Amino acid sequence: MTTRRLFPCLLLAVLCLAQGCISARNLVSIGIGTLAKTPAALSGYTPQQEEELGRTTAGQLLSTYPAYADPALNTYVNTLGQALAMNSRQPLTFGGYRFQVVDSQDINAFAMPGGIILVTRGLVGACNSESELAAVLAHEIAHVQNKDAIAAIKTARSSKLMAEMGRDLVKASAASGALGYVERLTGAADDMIATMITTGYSRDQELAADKAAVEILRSSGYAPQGLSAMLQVLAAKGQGRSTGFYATHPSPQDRLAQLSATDEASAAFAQGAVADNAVRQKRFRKALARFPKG
Amino acid sequence: MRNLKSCLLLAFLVCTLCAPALAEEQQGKLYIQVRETPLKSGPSFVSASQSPCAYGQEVTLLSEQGDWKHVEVNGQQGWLHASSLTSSRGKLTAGIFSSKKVSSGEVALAGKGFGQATAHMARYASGFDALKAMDGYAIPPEKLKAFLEEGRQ
Repeated sequence: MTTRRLFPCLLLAVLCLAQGCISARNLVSIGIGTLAKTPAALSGYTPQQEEELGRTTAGQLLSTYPAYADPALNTYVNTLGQALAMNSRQPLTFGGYRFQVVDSQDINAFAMPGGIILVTRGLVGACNSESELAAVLAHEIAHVQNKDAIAAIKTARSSKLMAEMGRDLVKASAASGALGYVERLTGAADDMIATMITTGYSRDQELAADKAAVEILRSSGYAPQGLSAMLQVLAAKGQGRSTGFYATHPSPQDRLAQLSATDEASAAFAQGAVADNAVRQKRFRKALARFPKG
Repeated sequence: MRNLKSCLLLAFLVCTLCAPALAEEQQGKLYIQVRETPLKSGPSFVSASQSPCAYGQEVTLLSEQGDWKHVEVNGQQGWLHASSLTSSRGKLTAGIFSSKKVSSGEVALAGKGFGQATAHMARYASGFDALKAMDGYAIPPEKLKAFLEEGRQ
């Protein structure tokens, strides 16, 4: 064989060998590649960074909305909420899902990155059953998994913050550098809080959270009618109101209509009738035994 | 002959460059991206817990079943949920709060170089104290499963 013919053969051999490397890499990456489908990959922040954002935001909110001092109720809410999260599409966050009832009569809930979820006693008190409370918590879990709070961070601030969060602050020893970072972190928290309290998420985000909540409820053994029942309760309480929760969410009637149009059990879903069994009724009443009504 | 030597050298270089990447990716290295999670005996949160895996720890992917990954870590085989793992080691960092539990003292960022930042965060001290209490609210998966099963009766 002449050199002229040998060179292409050898080149072909080299290319095949290189392709073999790439092919082997692809085979292995099938397992690793599926990780990219998990929700945690979609926000641009790592789970640990989401925890930092969530803690900063929760710390600020808890300074305004103090924790409601009822250990039995908080244990019940955490058991129900964490059980729902376990059956969701993102059951783990960096620090795990944690729930806290806060002492406010307003009807509202705040779902922070990392799975830190605050629920006002006004919203807990509006629930008539464990299934309705489960629907509330499932909706908030869905907001965490859909990264809705993170999407509220202003783009320019988020870009700079994302670049900074990888640095070890101990090594960035200049006071101004640390202050600048902390200001951006608390600024990000301010962006999220402003959205949760004042402007609200988009209608699409709220409806997406409702749909995801239905999946979580079904996966956990709760009838999705708990969500429709809760929406009807909220609709009744919201008559003539346009502030707070009712300013930051689509109308309960709108949400019910959207869900009823897509849920396969639409007729039953629209009815919103949920009759919890004796076990659920008993533990719900026990958890709220010290809870002031009205 | 000179061309033959060049081709062989090129082939050698390609193999040398491919080999480390090939070796590492064939082993399927993944890293823990949550604060801590137990290695499970089976692909379920309620399977028996084996040794705990800490943030940043490296594991080797063996196979997968749904959202669960069969891995080897420190010579032990077990299962981890996909949401606790990342293939990108470069993104794992200490961060400002790292894996420590929050304390009111943690609000005051350590070191004299952070004096101004300390003053900035101090106004939220009561909130961070409440957040510290929330860190203790984790319920074991077995209790969560029992809660759901009792409620289905």
